Order: sequence, then structure tokens, then C-alpha cells
Amino acid sequence: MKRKAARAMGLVLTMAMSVSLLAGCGGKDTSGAEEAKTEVSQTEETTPETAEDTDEGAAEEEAKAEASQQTNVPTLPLEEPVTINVMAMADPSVSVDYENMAFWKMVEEETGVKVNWTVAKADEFVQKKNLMFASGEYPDVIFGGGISADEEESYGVEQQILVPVDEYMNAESMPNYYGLLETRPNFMKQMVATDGHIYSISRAWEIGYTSGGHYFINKQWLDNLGLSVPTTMDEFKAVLKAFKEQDPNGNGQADEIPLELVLKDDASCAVTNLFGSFGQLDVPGHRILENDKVVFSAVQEGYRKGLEWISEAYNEGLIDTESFSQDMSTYYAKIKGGNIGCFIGWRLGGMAHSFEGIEEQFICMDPPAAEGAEPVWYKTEASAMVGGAAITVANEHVAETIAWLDYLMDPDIAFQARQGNVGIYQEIDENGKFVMKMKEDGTAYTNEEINADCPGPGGLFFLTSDVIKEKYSLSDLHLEKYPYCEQYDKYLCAQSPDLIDRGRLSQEDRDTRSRMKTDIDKFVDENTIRFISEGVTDSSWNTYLDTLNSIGLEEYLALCQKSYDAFNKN
Amino acid sequence: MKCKRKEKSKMTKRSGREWLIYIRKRLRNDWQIYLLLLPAVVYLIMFHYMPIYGVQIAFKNFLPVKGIIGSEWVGLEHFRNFFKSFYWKRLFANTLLLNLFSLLFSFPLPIILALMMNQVTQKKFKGFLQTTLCAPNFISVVVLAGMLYLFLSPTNGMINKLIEFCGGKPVFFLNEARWFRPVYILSGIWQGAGWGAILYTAALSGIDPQLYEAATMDGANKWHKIWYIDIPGILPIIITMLIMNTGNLLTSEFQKTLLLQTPGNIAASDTIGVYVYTAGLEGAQFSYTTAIGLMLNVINFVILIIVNKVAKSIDQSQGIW
Amino acid sequence: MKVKMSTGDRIFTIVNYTLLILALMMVIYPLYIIVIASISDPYAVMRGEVLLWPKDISFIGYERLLKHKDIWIAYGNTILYTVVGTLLNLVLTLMTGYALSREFMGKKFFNLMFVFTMFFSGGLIPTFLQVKSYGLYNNPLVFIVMGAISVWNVIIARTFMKSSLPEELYEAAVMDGCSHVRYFMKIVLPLSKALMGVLVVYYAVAHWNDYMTGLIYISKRNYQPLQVVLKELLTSLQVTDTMSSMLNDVQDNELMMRVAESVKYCAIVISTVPILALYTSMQKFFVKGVMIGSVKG
Repeated sequence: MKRKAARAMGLVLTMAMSVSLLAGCGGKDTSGAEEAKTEVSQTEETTPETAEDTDEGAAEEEAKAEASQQTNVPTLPLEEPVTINVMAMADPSVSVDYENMAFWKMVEEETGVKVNWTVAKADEFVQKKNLMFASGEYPDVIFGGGISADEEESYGVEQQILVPVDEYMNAESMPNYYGLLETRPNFMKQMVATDGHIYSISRAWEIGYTSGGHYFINKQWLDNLGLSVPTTMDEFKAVLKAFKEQDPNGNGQADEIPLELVLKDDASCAVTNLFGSFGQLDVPGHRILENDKVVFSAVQEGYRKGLEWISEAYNEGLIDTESFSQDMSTYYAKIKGGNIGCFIGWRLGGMAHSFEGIEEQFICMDPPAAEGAEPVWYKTEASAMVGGAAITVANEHVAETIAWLDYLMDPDIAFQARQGNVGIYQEIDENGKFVMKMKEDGTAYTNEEINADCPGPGGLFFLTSDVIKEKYSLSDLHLEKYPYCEQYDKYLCAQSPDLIDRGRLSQEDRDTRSRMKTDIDKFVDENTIRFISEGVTDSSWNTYLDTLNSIGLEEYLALCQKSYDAFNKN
Repeated sequence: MKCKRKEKSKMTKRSGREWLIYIRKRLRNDWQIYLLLLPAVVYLIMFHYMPIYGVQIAFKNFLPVKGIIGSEWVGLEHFRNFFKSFYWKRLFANTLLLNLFSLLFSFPLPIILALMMNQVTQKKFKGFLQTTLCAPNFISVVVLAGMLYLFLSPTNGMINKLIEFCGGKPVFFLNEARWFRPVYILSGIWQGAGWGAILYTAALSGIDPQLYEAATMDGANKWHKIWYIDIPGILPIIITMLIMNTGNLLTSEFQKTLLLQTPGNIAASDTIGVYVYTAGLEGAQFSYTTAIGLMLNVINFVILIIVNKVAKSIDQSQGIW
Repeated sequence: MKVKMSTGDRIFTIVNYTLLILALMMVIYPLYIIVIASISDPYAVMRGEVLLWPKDISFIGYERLLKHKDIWIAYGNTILYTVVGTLLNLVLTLMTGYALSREFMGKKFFNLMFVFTMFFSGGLIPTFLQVKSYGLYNNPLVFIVMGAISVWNVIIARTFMKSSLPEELYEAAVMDGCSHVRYFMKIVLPLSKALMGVLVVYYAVAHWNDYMTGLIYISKRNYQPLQVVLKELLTSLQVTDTMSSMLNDVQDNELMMRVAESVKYCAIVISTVPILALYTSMQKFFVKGVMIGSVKG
């Protein structure tokens, strides 16, 4: 009886919602968004049940499901609030002050799950995570994409610190997540660890970007000097030289930085992209895929040619001296300083490097081609990313946590996690799409304001292209990148290097690989810097190759190949 | 040694009765000594001896879930892996060279400084000199590194401004391997020379003034007095200090090195101390880095014992213990 | 008692003074320039015009720094850790130093136990794991408990008590039926003021300048001491994350970079002045302190 009543309620609510949306369409009142928001959350609760409606015949099953729902699956908001400790990796552009984010306040209100946050960004997070695993004092949840496939193996399969989540991956326990996952059957295979269990909730963000970084060149400076956008590396150098010598910013001082680069960290900004102009794909870590074979890029002829070009430019003062010693935040800060001729980045607006007017100053430039080379460009691979959230053995409220995670997976919530709360930063338009709201005074919210109130890319989401198309009206920031990707499409490499480490290896192989990786990466980075500052000669290049071989490059690549093959088999 | 002898001689002077009372009193009081010692002993056990016990993970495959005792033994595997790794020679070389050059350049300076200050007759100026020259010693290593970053910056740094003014090309001191040791050692001298001189100053003040008077009578000039009175006077302490510093040749300080390390100077700044920190704490390779640390520790311990033996064989009163 | 100097001696003296004054300048100038740069206009500093006197006096760096909450929390933490930590250090070191300066059964054993730790340690990782197992990870108590006693300072205390308190004094007290604790409280402590001065400065400086403990054992920002926050501020090549959040309301980007430099100078000044002040006020104890320490155990 109760159930029927609930169903009826659901129907009524759905109707009410469409009515109110219609009303919102006609009226101009601002409270419409508020209403829509509450209704969205109500329909959510009813959706799974209405779905079951269609299966009238399976009454027994339904009863079972109902029973399990009553025993295992907690309903939100929880009657008795629980508190969980969550360790989260934050996105570089977002605040780490999760406690005071409007988004998390809303989540706490609507789920009854109170969270004790420990939040850090990239490098710092990795360090804290390692210490945490070593200490034996685990948080209840590791959140924000901080667990890799390797870590699932060692902390899940071998040490059993992580709890398998596969038993919850069904329509009852995680309706939102499971529903989305069903539309991507091949993702599931990537998530399974070597013991057949799944140790984390995956994330996906199929926004359809195909490339990470792009060259951005200072159009204002080009115009000031009457130059055109360079298409070859020789022209590129000439332009940089002009930037340096002809005072494009017109302040009478030679204080311009023609080219700003950064050594590693982020594949979308790193100097590795530059080697593409010499026909040699390169990414941090220097492993790429060619016809299903793992190849080391930093020993190829194209890499050497690239080094020679960079070295010349560096020694002529065309590249910022600090390029190869700075970290990402300094790199961003320099670009933000507004005195840069050219850099490689994800997009212009809404980044840590953005400043007012950056869109007018810079344009996206095709990768210039070196003589006799076809430029190639790094292709990013959109697929499930494991490690979106993992539960540890310390967790005493697993069922509640699962419910909380699934709540976050609801696209309506996930969109708010990315772009800010409905009612504050966003509203739902007449087509049921999320759109950004304006401030009272008619201006748009700045990124700093939004980033202080929601976790952005650090949240939990499984947003497939269909969902994005259906519900999301892309903001200008997102739209900005599509043309860049289109522009770069013709340069993309055939197989994305992202796939190499996705396969799973035994503990011994993993240990060997990580030890060798440390040595090899260190050696290549060091020598890259040395080649850049001192130039490349035949003998120094050959010594470099020989040493790499003696470190065991071949064995290392064989292990990487093994991992990729394991992945490819799926 | 001296104390004991003194006591014994006193004991013999005591009468039998007094002696008995003395012993009884002392025994009755001894428990209070242990009481006073207790906190320190507990501290030592907790923070020094327990970690020494934990060193066994160097021979185990330490997994946090299994704990120190529960983790499985792997024998010398971590040591073998270290020597198999590409960088072990460089780690050792960098550690040794940094210490060796530090010793070479920063050891004589405090002595010279002390000898020079000893010649200053105005008391006030001498006090001012001493106070000022010691001040950098109290600046934290973080601030020191910060100052170096500011002064040596290739774009805004004062030193490079000066080089440019003189027509040179700016040097990126902190990003070039060949500049790492000079920067490290010179900044170390700036910070530590004055402080190091105090010890020798104190020793110099202990020299018998009659020696100088006699020398003046003999017509010695200041130079002679330094050469024939001052230096021989402080030679024992110089030797002791030299020995102690030699014992430190393979110890690896990691704070300053870590703070001054940049991707460009890593070829010179990659030392064992930093490696243990980065690979161990940041990379969570606990057993592996414990093994490396242990190896260095044992080597240092052996060096120290040898050095101490050598010192004692030169002169019985030398040596650290 | 003035003796006429020979020409050689006069030259020697002149050279000597010149060199010493040069050394003095080399020590003072970098410190001086930091102070004047911190109160000069950032642009003037960048152009290299601030060499002898502050130029276009501006307190923009200090103003910015004042707004930076993190650094003041850390400043407060460091003061707390330094005061409480030093007090504990002092009490424990005096107690232990006194105990080891007396004759008692097992003295040799305890001596060895102390000295051994100076030459052999478990190393970074085992120490970390152990301290962590005591629940001191991310616990501000670690700043006080870790390094509660420095063995080196215990040796200084022991040597001082042995050498500057006459043995007869103790014997007389024992004859009067005075216990160790009483003797320590009533006689040793009042006579050890110079020692305490040295110990206070040694320990306080160590606490104030302690960077490693925060780096290794603390990940919660609210507990971090000054040095860790300073590190973030100072040792990046230009503008750090922390800094850009401090400066993000500055619209002019170039100005932001300049101010960032200025903030660094100011941070050095505010973090270093207290410790140098403590040192100058206590410096009369130093030669003595070092001398005691150099007498071998």
C-alpha cells in the first residue's frame, strides 16, 4: 500500500515539475530556479521506482528488491546522520577549503552524511596518501581520483586496505552509478583488478575533447610588429626573436618573455608537446604507442632534432630561463603576468593562468612544422578513470557511504559539483538544461568565486556524452576549447599514450617497473635539461643512448608492453 | 677521570664512621637520581631506541598492514636493489664530495677569523664583531634558502644585476649543477664561520699572557706571536675538530640540500639524505630507503670509531670519548 | 703599558682591521638589504635602486603579509611550540644533566645509553614509523615531544654542573641530610643561571627554526609552524600558489609579481627579527656556553 502511494506521489511530482517548468517558462520570476531545484531532488528519489514500474510481471523480484532496500540500502537523507573521514585530491584550480563550499554544505544537508575533509592538491596529495597508507590510520574514503590502478592492486588486492565495491555495483545499491555504467559496458572490464574484484568507483567526463594542450601565441604582439602566425619552426623562431628584440609590448624595455615552457607535470602544458613539431610524439614519461607497441620517444631522432631547436632558442634567450626549473604554479603565474609571447596550455579562460583580456591577446596556433616533418599531437583518451572514490577498511558506514557516493553520481548533483549550486551559480532552463546564472548586478560569476564553492573536476561524476548533451549547456569556457581541438584534430596521434599503464601487473613486475621508471625518468629529465642548456653533440647523444640502455630501457619497455597487452586483451 | 681520582683521595681522608654514613646516605638518595633520569630515559627509548629496533624493516618487505614484526623477511634484497639502481654511485659521490668540499673550505675559515679577532684590542669592537658575525647562525635554513633564491634569481637577483652591470650574462646559479656546491658551501660559510670561530676564540683566551710578554721581550712581532704562540696553543682543539669533521664525511644533511634542489642542479644536489627523504617519505618505499639509511649509518659509525682510534694513537688526551 | 708598535705590526694591524671590517660588511649587508628592500617600493627594488638606503618608502609588502592568514596562524603556532617546548626542554635537560653529574650505580651504563644515540640513529623512516605509531602524526604535540631532550645539551649541562659547582658543596649538603631532589632545587638551580641562559637560547632557536618536524609529521595546515609556511613563500622562483591567493585582488599583473617579491623580503624580516633579538639579548652567555660544550664528555 505504502509503495503504491509513493508511486502515485512520484507521478504527481513529475507532473508538478513539468507544470512548474512551464510556469517558469512563461513567468520571469527568479524563484523559479529555486523551485526547480527542490523538485529535481525529489524526482530523483522516485526515478528508480518508476523504472521498476515497467516490469509489472516480476512482482517477486520487486518484493526482494524492496526487502533489500529496507535492510541494506539506506534512504537519504539519513535519519541518523553519520560522519565519515574523507581524504580528497583537489583540482589545481579549485580551493582546498571543502568544508566551506556551498556545494558540500548542500550535500550534507540532503544526505545527512557529515564529512571530515582532508584535502590537498596533486603533489602534496600523493605524499600524504603514501604516508596515510603507511600509517595504518586510514580515512573512510579516498576521493577525487587519487587512486591509480597500481594502487588498487597493492592496497586492494594485496594488502586489503581498500574494500571491494563490486557487490554494491547494482541497481539497488547504486542506482545512479549503475545506470550510467550500463551504457558503457566496455568500461567495466578496465576496472576489474587481478583478483576479479573492483576496488574503486570510476569517473568519466566525456565532454569530447580530443587533445590536451595547444599553442597559444600573442596576437597583439604579432600585430604590433606586423608579423603573421608562424607555420614552420624557422618562422616560429624568427617570430620569437622579433618578440625579444623589437619591443612588441611597447614599453621601451626588453622585458618580454618570448616563449614560456614548463618541463613536466601536466601532459597538456609540458614542453614534451613541442617535439610533436618534429614529427615525434612525446609525453611526460616518454612512453608512446605505435601500432600497439610501446615505444620510448626520448631516444628517437625527432626528439634529438627537437632538443637542438629548443637548445638554440634557449641560448639565444628566446625561452624563459626558468622554464626548466619551475613548477606548474610558477608557470601559470608567469603567463598570468601578461608578458609572454607564446605558451602551451589547455585553453585561455578560466585557468590558473588566465587574466582579464587573455582571450583578446592570444590566439590558438597550429603546431609549426619542422623541415621535413609532419607535426603530431598528443591525443587524450576519454574513458573510465578508476579511483574516483575508494572505501577503506576503516569505514564503519559502508552502506551509508555507498549511498552518499551514489547520490553524488546523480548527474543533477554532479553538474552542480562541477559548476556550482543550482540557485546560486546555475539554474535550470526551460529545456531542463543547466545554465550559468548571472549575479544580481548582471555580471557573470568569476571563476574564483565558483572555484571557492564547488570541487569542480575534483568531484565524483560519471558523465557520459549523452548525459552531457541532454542536461548540460556547456559554458563559454567549455565551448572555448572545441575549436582548438578541431584545429588540432588533423595532427592527433593514432593511439593515445594514456592507455599504457591501464593494464594490471603482478606485484613483482610493478615494483621493478616503478623502480626503473624512477631512474629512467630522472635520467631523461636531467639530460633533457643538459642538452637544452649545452646543446646536443653526436658524442653526448650517443653516450646518452648508451647509458639509457645500460639502465635497462629494454626491460622497462617490455614491462610496459606487458601491462598494455594485458589491458588490450580486454 | 680526573673527578674520580679526586674523590678517591678524599675518601681515604674520611674516618670510618663518616664513610659509613656517607655510603648509607648516598644509597638512600640514589633512587632520586633514577627518578630524575626517568623522563629522559623514557624519551630516549621511545624516540631513539625504538626506531633503532625498527631498523629491521631494512631486511623485510615492510607492509603497514602487517606491521614491523609481521612483515616478511627478504634478507639483503633492498641492498641489492640499491646497488642495481643506476644512481647509487652518484648518490654516494655527491654526498661525499659535498662534505669534502665543505670541510676543505669551511674548516680553516673560523680558525683564521678567530686568530684575527684575537688581535683586536678594543674590547667593544671585539664584542660587536663577535655578536654580529655569529648572528647568521641563528637564521633558519628556510630563510637562508629564501635569501639565496632572492639574491641569485636570474631575472631580478642582485648578484645577476651586478653581473649584467659588469657586462656579463646572467647566471642561473640555482639551476646549474656546477654552481650547486659553491652556493651551498659559500652560504654555509656565511652562516657558520662566525659561530665556528667562538670555539677557537675561547681557546685563544686561555693562552697564558706571560707567553706574549716573553715574546715581546724577545722582539717578536704580531705575526710571530700568531705563528709561534697562538696556533700551537689552539692546535689540539683544531685537531679534535678536524677529526670530528672527518667522521662526518658521509653523513647526509637533507634540509638545506632539499631546499636548494632544482631540476637543473640535481646532478650535484642528489644526495643520500635527500634521496631517502623523497623516495622514502614521498614515495613510500619504506624498507628500501631504511636499508640505504642504515648502510650510511653503519659506514659513518665505523668511520667514527676508526677516526677516534687514530686520534687516540696520536695523543691519548684526544678523541671524542 | 703601551708599547710602541713597529712598522710591520702597524701594517699588520691595518690589514687585519680592514679584513675584519670587510667580513663584518659581508655578514651585515645581505641582512641590511633585506630590511631596506622590505620597506621600499617594489619597483625600485626590481630596478636595483635599493642598495644603500630604502627608496620610495612603501609598506605594501607588510600590508599584504598582514592579510595572509596562514602566516599568522603559523606564527602563533611557532610561538606556542617554542615557549612550551623550551620550558619542557629546560626542565628535562637540567634534571638529566644533574643526575648524570652525580655518582651512582649504573652511571656508566646510562652515560653510554645517552652518548650512543649521538652516533647511531634509526634513521628517518624508522623514526617516522615509530613516532606515527604513538599517534603523534598530525598532532601538534609532536613539536614539543620530539626533541624534548638534546643529548648534546645534556652533556653541556652535566659538564657545567660538574665543573662549576664544587664537590664540597654537595658533600656538605649530604652531610646535612639533604636529598638529591632538594639539593637540585635549592642549590643547583639557583647557581645555574648562566647555563639556563645558554640552554634557553639553544632550544628556543631550535624550535623557532624547526622546519623538518612540520615537513614530516604534520599535514594539517592549521598546525604548521612558521618555517613550513615560509618555505612555500620563499623558495619558489617567483609567485607561488599561496602567494597568488594572497594577491589575487591585485588587478595589474605586473604589479602582482613585484609585490610578490616584496612580500618575500617582509616575510624574512618578520620571521627572523624575534630570534635575532633573543640572541642579542642573551649573547653574553655564548662564549661560556660553547666553551662548556667543547669540554668533552
